Amino acid sequence: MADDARPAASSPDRAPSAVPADPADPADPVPAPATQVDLRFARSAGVWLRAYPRRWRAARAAEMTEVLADLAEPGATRLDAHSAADVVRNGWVTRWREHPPAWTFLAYRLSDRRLPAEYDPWLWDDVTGALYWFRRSWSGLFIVAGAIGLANGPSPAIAALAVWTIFGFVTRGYVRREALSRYFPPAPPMLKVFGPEGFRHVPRGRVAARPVLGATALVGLTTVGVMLLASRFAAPGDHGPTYALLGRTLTLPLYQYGFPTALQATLGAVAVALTVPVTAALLAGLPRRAAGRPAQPHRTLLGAGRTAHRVVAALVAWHLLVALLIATNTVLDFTVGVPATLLGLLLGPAALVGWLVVRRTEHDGAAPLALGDVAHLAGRRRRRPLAVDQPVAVWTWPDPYALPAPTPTAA
Amino acid sequence: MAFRMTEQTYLVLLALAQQPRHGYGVAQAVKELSDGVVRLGAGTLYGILDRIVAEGYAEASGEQVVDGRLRRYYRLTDAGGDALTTETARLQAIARRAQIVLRAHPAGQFGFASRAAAGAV
Repeated sequence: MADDARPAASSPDRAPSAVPADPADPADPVPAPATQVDLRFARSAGVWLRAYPRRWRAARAAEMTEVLADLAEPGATRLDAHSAADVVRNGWVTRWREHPPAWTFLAYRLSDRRLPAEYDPWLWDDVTGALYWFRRSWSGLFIVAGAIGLANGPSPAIAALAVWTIFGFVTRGYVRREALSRYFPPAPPMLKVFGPEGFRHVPRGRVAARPVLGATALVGLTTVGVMLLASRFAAPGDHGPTYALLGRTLTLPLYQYGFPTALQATLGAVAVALTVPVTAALLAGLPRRAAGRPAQPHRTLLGAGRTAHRVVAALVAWHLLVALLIATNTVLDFTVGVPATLLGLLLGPAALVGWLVVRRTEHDGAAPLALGDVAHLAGRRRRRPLAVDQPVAVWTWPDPYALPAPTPTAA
Repeated sequence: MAFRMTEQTYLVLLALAQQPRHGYGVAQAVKELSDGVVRLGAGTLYGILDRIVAEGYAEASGEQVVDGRLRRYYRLTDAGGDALTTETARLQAIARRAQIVLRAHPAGQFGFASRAAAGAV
């Protein structure tokens, strides 16, 4: 017991408070000091209270700061060492008390296995805490980086870690929202829940045509541009034979995989020459066929939100990084760059044509087109009218896991 | 995890049995009840409060903001009163047995300075 106790730092000559301690019991013989907590003391206590879990701090930190101030010497501007040690020790005890057992924790962390409901407070802290994406993906991160490092040396592994970090930073909000919606689904009154199995009806999700085509064109054309530019700066001969195109010396070393460079350039040119006219021909009648299309009240269009913009930005950033590494002859060979260039040549120009056509089609102000609508209206069944989407029943976890109250509510 | 009734926990429950108290009030009451031997730090105190509230032995009974300072009061529940009664009876039984053992031996046999010292246990 003695090791848990600490010397009392309270002063016996505190001015007693005239305020009743409890409405139900106005005669509290131990009135607390009724002075404002010094701001410097509150800051000092706040630093040490970080030993407690986030959720606990949100509920109790203010109250405990008051008690720490009550127990401290009058005029103290910082928490003394003994009190700080007491706070840190008990903060970590609190963390440990709410932490899942090792195997349960590892199953959750490594395979995303659901935790028992009793650990929901801990889970809430984990998902809403800083760097959740990195905590969740560290295992995959080290496996991928390790595999790359073993195969290509340390520099590509470091580059992979950097890309992983950027990707995690860009998608951290999406990952957290997705995890929250999965582990802590909305309350039943907001959704139509069928039966104990937790089926509910949700709008049909469709990929929006215009934003996705625009993003594909942007990423594809940007990739082609930066890769060709990078190959202009890459040292000839380091990665394979060079090829002169439009008066410029390009290094397109698919040769090392057995592909003659001239064949690559020819295939690329053929790809552009074929995909653009074919796409234009297929979509030529789209504005006419899409006129009078039905409204879609049970449809959610995906691909136009902030998350999609972040994914596009991450893809562009990734290709810029690869192009930079190629241009400086740093770490990567063309394992990534050449396939990305060919894919960009295949998809970029065609997507640009599709984006222009869809944009012109949607000028009529009717329901925005999904990618599936465009495929339908350009395909063999284009004479059939577009169907109206119906809500779809999806299975979710039976009941929302309500968080236990962080503190008892006041009577 | 099984609930463990330590001496500090027992004293906190005893302090709350007298009347609802805020954190500082509990710490002061524990100090008085233990004759100044047990002096709880805020971390230890809130660890105990967390455990006894989770166990259902105590509950928050109200909050007050006095001169800008937050006071949250805790009170003993019926379950807490039962646990306190049970623990008190257990301690009394131990004390009775201890007295019987000590009286059965003459003073000085255990190196005690006097029977009075043994009687004070």
